[in-house]
Amino acid sequence: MKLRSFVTPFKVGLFVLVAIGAFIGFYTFVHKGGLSKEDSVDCFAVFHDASGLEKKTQVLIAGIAVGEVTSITLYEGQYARIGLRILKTVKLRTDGAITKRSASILGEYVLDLYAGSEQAPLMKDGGQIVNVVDQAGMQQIFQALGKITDDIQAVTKELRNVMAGQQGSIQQIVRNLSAVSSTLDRTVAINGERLDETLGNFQRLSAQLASIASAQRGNVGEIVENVRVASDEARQALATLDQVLGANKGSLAENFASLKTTLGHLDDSLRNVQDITKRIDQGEGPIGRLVNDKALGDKLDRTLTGASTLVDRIVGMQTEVSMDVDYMWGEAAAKGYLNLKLIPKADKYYLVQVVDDSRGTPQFAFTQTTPAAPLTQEPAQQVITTTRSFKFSGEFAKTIEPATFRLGIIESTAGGGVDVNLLGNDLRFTTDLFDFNDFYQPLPRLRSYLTARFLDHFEVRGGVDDALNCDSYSGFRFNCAQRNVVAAEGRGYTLGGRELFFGGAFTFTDEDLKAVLAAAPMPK
Amino acid sequence: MSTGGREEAPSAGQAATQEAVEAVESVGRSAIQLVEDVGGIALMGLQTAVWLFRPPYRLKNLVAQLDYIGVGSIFVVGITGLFTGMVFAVQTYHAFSLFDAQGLVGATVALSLSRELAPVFAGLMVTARVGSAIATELGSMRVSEQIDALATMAVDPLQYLVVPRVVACVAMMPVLTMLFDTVGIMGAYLVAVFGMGVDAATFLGRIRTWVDPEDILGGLIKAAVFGLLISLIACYKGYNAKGGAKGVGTATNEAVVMGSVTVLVVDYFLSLLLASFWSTHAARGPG
Repeated sequence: MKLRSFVTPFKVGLFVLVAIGAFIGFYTFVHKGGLSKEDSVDCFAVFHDASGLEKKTQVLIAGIAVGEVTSITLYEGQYARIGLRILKTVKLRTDGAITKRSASILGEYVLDLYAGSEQAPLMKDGGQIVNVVDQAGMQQIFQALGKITDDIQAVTKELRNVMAGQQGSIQQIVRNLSAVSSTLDRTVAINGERLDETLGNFQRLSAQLASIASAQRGNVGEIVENVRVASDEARQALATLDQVLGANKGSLAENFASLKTTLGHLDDSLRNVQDITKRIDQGEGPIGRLVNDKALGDKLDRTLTGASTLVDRIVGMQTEVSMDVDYMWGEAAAKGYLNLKLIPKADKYYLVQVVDDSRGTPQFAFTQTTPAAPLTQEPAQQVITTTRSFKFSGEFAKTIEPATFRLGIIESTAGGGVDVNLLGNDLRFTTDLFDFNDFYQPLPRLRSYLTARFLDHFEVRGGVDDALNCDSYSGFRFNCAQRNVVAAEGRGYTLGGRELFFGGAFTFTDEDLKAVLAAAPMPK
Repeated sequence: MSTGGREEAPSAGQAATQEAVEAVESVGRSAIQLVEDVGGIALMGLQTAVWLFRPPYRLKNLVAQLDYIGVGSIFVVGITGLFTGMVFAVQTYHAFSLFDAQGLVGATVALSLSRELAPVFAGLMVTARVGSAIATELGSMRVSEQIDALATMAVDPLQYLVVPRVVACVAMMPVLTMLFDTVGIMGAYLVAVFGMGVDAATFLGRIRTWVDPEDILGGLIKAAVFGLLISLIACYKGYNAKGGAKGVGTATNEAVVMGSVTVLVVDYFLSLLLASFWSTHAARGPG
């Protein structure tokens, strides 16, 4: 009984003691340890915004707590008066500064303190920290961050435009630089060629001048030869004189006379030489003007340059002659082409073509009734005249690999076409579009075919002609095809319409033509 | 005029009117009962306060009640506190991880426990365990006329039965709340540090930063008030039980319900009161 009466109070007491111990421990743990009045100096600061500050908010210097907020009151009706208690060991000066800083984005704030300079007096109890740096609130920070983000987006956008845009971008600049360098290279190359040409012209001019001079030197040589002949004659004369003096003194006078005549000839020859050289030096005569007139020399140079360029172009132009024959499936007729291709440069050529088209050239005429029918009515009679005649093509072609674009006259009508070269030009896909104004056909004439080249000179090809209009032959005839065929002279003439064809061609180049022409018999 | 000895059956309209009247009467009776209860509890509190300082001081009874209310509630309050702290740590960890602020788990749990959860949950546990026991015990004594016998023996039943229970409950509630705080924060520490990987120094450092002694004191003050109210309600209901065993059961039921509701309701007003008190002492405000 006594033990029981002892145990119960013991349990209660132990429990209470443990709880008190826990309370003291917890209380001590969370107790911030406020600063004593004796060890601290009380002061205050005025903030525009005290949000986030609480009593006992820490005051830090370099992250070390040196004080705390003791009170927060309204000041002059619109500011926050923050009471502070700062350790005296800090030696807070009157020129100290304080600022509010967010310790986290969750709204925890601390105060950062700058103690002040040593020259300023110590802060007295109840003094004011005048230098307050108000930090922006989180909302202002987020607004500022938003603006900064917008700026960054703008910058990145500009940067993206600069890096990859079409106007004023680095890519554009690089492209421009590349184009400039290419142009510079091309200019240097072109000027180099022109310089070479100019030097060549000078060389030719000097050669021609040398030739002229050499021609003139012929005269001089002739003169010299005359002098040599004269000297020989003089020698002979002296010999004769000696003979005369020795054996035939009687004819001495005659020999002297002959000598005098010879010397006179020599003197005349030398005078002629002097006269010629003087006239050349004075610019008289064609040779003199050529030698002394600069304008004439330049003109001659230009003439020679032009002539040289022309000759170069003529010499450099390649010629290709080809003959094509197609079998028109629908018409059961052949169609022939004779082509002359003039190729001044590798990327362009001129094509002259004579075409024997089995379709002929239809001509349309209307016989108007009398009196004239209203315009809204059909004419009384329609006359179609098909003339079998050659058609001509003249096209200018420009190659932009892998395609060659042609424009001009195709089979006596305006048109154009494109060749797409495949497999190293061994395979070519060709499309022509022409004959836009054919009265009889509703749509222009579209011809597409594929050409395969073999053995360098031979081609086979096949395709479809007049693909946009109705079929013209019975095998693939549609309802509208009947009107495309007219009967005349016991056979059908195709006026137009879609039909298949296949054929071949062979081609001669410059070298082939030279060989052929060299081997051909020439009329004597 | 006589109807021949037969009573007429009430019409449907009369029956509805009768039900409405009874409903209003029920509300009125409940209001009167509530006022009577509040008044009775207040009077009992005053009498208890008076008898508290009048000899004889029955320490033996007090110690027995301290043992029963305090030591006897350690397990239930400890378990409740441990798992409350653990659950709260799990939930706040996931919430704070959205902001990458898991370090605040400790501070949040400690603040919540010390200010609200510990006193309220401890109060509810004591209401369930102790309040029901007090009401049942005193109710049984009342219906078995033991209380009347005490009075017959010149022993004031209020001093003998109520004062020790009220004092013990007022004294032990803060102790149990402190236990709840400690065990709850320990549970949160275990879950957060060992389970979730929160840095231990951060956990404790944030508690130290954010929890103030006022928070702990406020919780303990609440607990003492809750102890006073729980014990007075339970004693009042048991002391005034009537109607035999059924009356005892009714008294017990009413004591638990009224005690629990009172804890939650009073907690709100106490929170406002304490917040106002601490704010005043924090010297924050105009002027």
